[in-house]
Amino acid sequence: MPRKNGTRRTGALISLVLLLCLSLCLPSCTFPLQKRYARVIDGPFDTATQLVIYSRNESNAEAFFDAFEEKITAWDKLADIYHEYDGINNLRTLNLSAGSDPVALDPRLLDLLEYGLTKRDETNGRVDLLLGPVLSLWHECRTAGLADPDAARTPTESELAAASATAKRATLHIDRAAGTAYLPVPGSSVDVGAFAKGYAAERISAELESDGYTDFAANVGGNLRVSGDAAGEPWTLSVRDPAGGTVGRIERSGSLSLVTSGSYERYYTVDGVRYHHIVDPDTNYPAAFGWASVSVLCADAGVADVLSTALFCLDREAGVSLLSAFGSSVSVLWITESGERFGVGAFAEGGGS
Amino acid sequence: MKDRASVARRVAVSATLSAVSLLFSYLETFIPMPIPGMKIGLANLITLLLLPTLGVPAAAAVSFSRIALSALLFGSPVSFLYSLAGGAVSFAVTALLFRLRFFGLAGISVLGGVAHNLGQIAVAIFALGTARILALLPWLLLSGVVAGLVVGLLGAVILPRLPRGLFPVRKEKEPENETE
Amino acid sequence: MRIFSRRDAALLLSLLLLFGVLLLVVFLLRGDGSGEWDVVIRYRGETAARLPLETDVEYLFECEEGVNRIVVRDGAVRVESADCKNQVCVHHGALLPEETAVDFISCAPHRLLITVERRDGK
Repeated sequence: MPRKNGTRRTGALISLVLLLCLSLCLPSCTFPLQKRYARVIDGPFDTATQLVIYSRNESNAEAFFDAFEEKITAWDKLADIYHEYDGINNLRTLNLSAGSDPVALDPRLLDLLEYGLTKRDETNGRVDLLLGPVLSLWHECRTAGLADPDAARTPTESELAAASATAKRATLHIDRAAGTAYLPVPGSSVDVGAFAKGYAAERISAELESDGYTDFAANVGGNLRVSGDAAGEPWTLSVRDPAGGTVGRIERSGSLSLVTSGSYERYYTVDGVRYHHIVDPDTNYPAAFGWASVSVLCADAGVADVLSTALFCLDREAGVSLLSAFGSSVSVLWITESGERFGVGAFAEGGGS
Repeated sequence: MKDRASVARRVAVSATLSAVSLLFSYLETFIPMPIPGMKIGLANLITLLLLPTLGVPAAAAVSFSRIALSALLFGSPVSFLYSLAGGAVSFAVTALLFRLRFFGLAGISVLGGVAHNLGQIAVAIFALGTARILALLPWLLLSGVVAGLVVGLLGAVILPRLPRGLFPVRKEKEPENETE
Repeated sequence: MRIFSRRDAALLLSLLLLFGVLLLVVFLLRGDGSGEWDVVIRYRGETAARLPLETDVEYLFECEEGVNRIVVRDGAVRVESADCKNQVCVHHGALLPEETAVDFISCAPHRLLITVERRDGK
């Protein structure tokens, strides 16, 4: 074989094949090799948590579920204001010690309380963890009203006035060095229901992400938090129309959260009038801005939870100006009781997914 | 013919090629594969050069030392398993095919590449605990074929250019002009 | 040493053919749709029933807290009616098997939880 031609031809062929070889690596790299695993956790935060993870093997998925379950159970106990648990001081412990002594609390709980105080300022008091006295009045009436609908009543004006006064005077002192929190005003109490689920979901998800888990989705009682993607496909986060059906469907990958606050979730009826669970701090009555639901989409589940509650207690203009303080990467979908829809960001008209 | 000088030469050549093979292994780690730890199998080129010249024992020794050393130096216990399985199967197939003389260099190399990936798939199923990897079988088959072709062609270019003193040509049964 | 004989060409061709066949096989076996999903009904955290999503059925769930009429139809599940106070479960609408979504229907007063999960293992 003549040497020169053969060498050149072979050389060209080799380079071509090498190129082909390398390009062939690419499809196999993006081919989905992950399987979908799911688990449902019933109980924490008085609701169900559904977890889905796309993983290469079952033991990795199981480890993720176990870790999430363990953490959320811990958070549930810490943030519980209705029960105490042996051996740990939680928020109920703190509330019962109002007006007496500081209480030593788990550092995570102190983080939560500090978060609550910060958000209280950032939302100008729309989301107020110190509104406990007012919220517990409504909680009592709601529980009684659901058990015995005929005897259902709303809190009296004087009850509300007294509770509101206490709440306004209330302060919360956090001593990180000593690891304690203190409510100096007797009768004051902390209620983190407006953001605890979202904060916990975000904390847990972020911790597990830094542990190396990815490509998962968590639905904590309606609070969605996703990470990575679903075997190459983006996650689907959707908002449910209170009247039925789905509106506002978002398909995204990455770390993202969707939280909805709705008047239809937790309510009771007195004399034919519905009273829902999101209390307006100005009126001390359930927020009456005409919203059936407010959904917030952003990267942090805690912020999403806070904002969905805050915006529920504001009209649209005030809501939009509050949003500007939180940055442009927040999308909101408002749905009125009459079914009208307003959206900003990803929920804007034509913005879509 | 197996005098001290030739044995010494064989050892020296094998050692050098082990080092070259190790280099190939290292470069391979930069080529992405769907499963971390899997390799594309370019180091088979060395096996291909050794089998018709220094023979099976030398080729086997070089292959194994390459697998062990590369796992120690740039790999993990898992990548060692992949290399071992891929290397063992590929070596067995390549050596057998060389003996049988049924296929040409290209065919031998292609089948060696495919065998290499089959060995790795077996380990992957075991290591990942799932047979899901089989969904990639078509692609890994193709990748094995292509890698085999590349290696085979490189071998075809290099083999005739190897210094005969260091790489004595072993028994060649076929005449140059066999009908294609 | 022979480089590329007719046998080699035949080998290459048959391997490429094999590649095509395997690709087809993998593609066909992928499967999707309601054939692989179950409706899982949990009461107080424990699984009370597991219904195949592809079979249309009406399941009357009764517990000491109340009653929910669960309907599986056309590859989706919904709570058609219930005697709970907030009707959230009814308003939720249809729950579809979705790979990329995490959703469930819950009737909190009845401690009821309905999910759509894959049939195989997890």
